[in-house]
Amino acid sequence: MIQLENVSKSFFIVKKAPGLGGSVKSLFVRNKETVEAVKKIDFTIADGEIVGLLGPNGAGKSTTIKMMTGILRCDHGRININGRDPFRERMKYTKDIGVVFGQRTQLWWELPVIESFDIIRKIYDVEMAEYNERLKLFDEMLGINQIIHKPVRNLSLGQRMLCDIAGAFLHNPRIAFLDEPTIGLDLNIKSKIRELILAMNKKFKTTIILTTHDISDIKALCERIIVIDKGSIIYDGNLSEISDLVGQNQEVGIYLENIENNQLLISAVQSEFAPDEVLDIDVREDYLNIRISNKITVSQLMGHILRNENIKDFTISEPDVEYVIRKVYAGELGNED
Amino acid sequence: MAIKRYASIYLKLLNVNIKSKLEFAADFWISSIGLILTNLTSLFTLYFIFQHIPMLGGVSYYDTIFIFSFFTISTSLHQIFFDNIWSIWIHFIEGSFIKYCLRPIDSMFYYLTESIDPKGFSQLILGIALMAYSGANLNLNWSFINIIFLVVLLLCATSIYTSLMTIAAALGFWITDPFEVISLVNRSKDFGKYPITIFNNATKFIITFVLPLGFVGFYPSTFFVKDTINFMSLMTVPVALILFFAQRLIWKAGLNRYIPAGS
Ligand SMILES: Nc1ncnc2c1ncn2[C@@H]1O[C@H](COP(=O)(O)OP(=O)(O)OP(=O)(O)O)[C@@H](O)[C@H]1O
Ligand SMILES: [Mg+2]
Repeated sequence: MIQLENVSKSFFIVKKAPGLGGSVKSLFVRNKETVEAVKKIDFTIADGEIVGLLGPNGAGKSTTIKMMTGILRCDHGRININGRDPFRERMKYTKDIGVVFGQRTQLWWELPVIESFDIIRKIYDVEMAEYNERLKLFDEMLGINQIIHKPVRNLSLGQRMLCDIAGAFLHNPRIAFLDEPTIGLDLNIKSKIRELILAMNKKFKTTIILTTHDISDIKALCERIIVIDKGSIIYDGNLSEISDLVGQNQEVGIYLENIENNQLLISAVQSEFAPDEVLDIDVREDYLNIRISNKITVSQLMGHILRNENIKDFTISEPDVEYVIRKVYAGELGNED
Repeated sequence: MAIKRYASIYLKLLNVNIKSKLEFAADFWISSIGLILTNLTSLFTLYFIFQHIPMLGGVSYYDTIFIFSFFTISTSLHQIFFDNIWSIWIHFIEGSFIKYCLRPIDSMFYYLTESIDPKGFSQLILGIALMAYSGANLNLNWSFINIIFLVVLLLCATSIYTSLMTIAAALGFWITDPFEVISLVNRSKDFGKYPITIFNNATKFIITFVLPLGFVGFYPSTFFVKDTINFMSLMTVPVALILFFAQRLIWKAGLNRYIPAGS
């Protein structure tokens, strides 16, 4: 079980004027700038959940992961994971977790991967039978047996990532923290990694916390997402309900008889509805895609539009996660009132 | 129990590191030859000096070679087993040091054992040969008790140098880029290689009390080259112990306040 209560973390950046004069001056006058990377966040994650931590670049996702993995101490608040304080009880705490920072490897750079695995086995005291069973499973799912005899430095990014993920699950951790585990990978390797994550979660009830900028990772893996923006949590809940963030919206697609008249229709819609009712209109030759918020209904919109003789056909669809998340990342948060 | 686990991890790392390093045989031989040549250059300098003067700072030729050999052995042991400390500054700059905080083993152990480099063996063998040569000419009595003292003092000397390097490295927890400090300790180590009597008083003071590199070579070797047991050579043991514990404390304090560089 993971519990974060009112957790904050700030970084101080010492600003110094350029040149030698600036360096000398900074020795005496500390001109500090504060970056509030994480601001008073709260959440609880139960055993066996898969949770996606989302948010734009610099939102504070990695900082949150670093606090949860015991690397960073939080300035305020309380973190309790598996009944321990990750920072103060690092040695005991790290026994039960597996961590991947997608940008860098945690295997022994110069050694063949299989030797890294064996060292990991010794570090965590994994039983030989269990270890062999794991390796077999990883090979079935990831096909790593052809690459584990090579030194890590000779692997491609994707091969290295497969081995790193395997390494993180080798000791059957209760929780796996995966910070951008699919960064820079091709579709094939991405899907292998997703399958492994799902299998670990299903078979061993491993709790998974992951960050990613890839919407398809989220769709494939997460039931629950936590969206962080500028250090604060702006959404914590089901993936399927994320569209609440921009005001429950729906999309109406309209096919036109006559392309020339589409401007007429657009201005008719825009004059009737306010910008927080009709969110945007996407124009593609004979097709218009209209997104509406929860302030109006589809029938209200259609009632207005159908008077227009120019319409050939129309479709109604549910909100699109990708659209919502793009909006969130662009900082255009909807109507939270 | 803990010791058994660490020993098993260490033996494994030792084994696979040496195996993987020796796969690059050319690399091994070239760097071995390089190391030997560097040492021979210093030796020739000493040889030429003694062609012109009988004593260096009141120390005879064979005594000087003995000190040199002692220093060579202790620093070779550092180089084989703990040289990874040298490159730690890269991890501080890149923020990649966090890797060593994510597993249930001591972070210093984890870092120091990551790379073990057999190329220092060539230098170690040179050091042993020089010690045998100078010892024979000095008519040293290699009694059992003397050999015990030799081993203990060598291990203390290695530990002192490794502790000094570790303290320099641990500054990286505060200043982000400890390269200059690490490199300063590394470049100054040669002060321990020669009879301390050749240096001026300020230097003597520094390499005895501030950056005690005199204990890496000169002081402990005087245990063997002087007829009477001298106080400073025995001080090597407490200095090693003090620096060992100081280094552990500084590392721990550093880890506690460490803020990895971004990303
Ligand atoms: N060591 C540090 N020193 C100063 N500022 C830092 C440090 N680490 C992170 N920050 C700042 O904290 C904020 C949050 O960074 P963080 O790495 O947590 O973002 P993120 O959500 O992981 O972003 P990304 O998606 O780009 O990985 C950023 O503004 C970043 O510049
Ligand atoms: Mg990040």
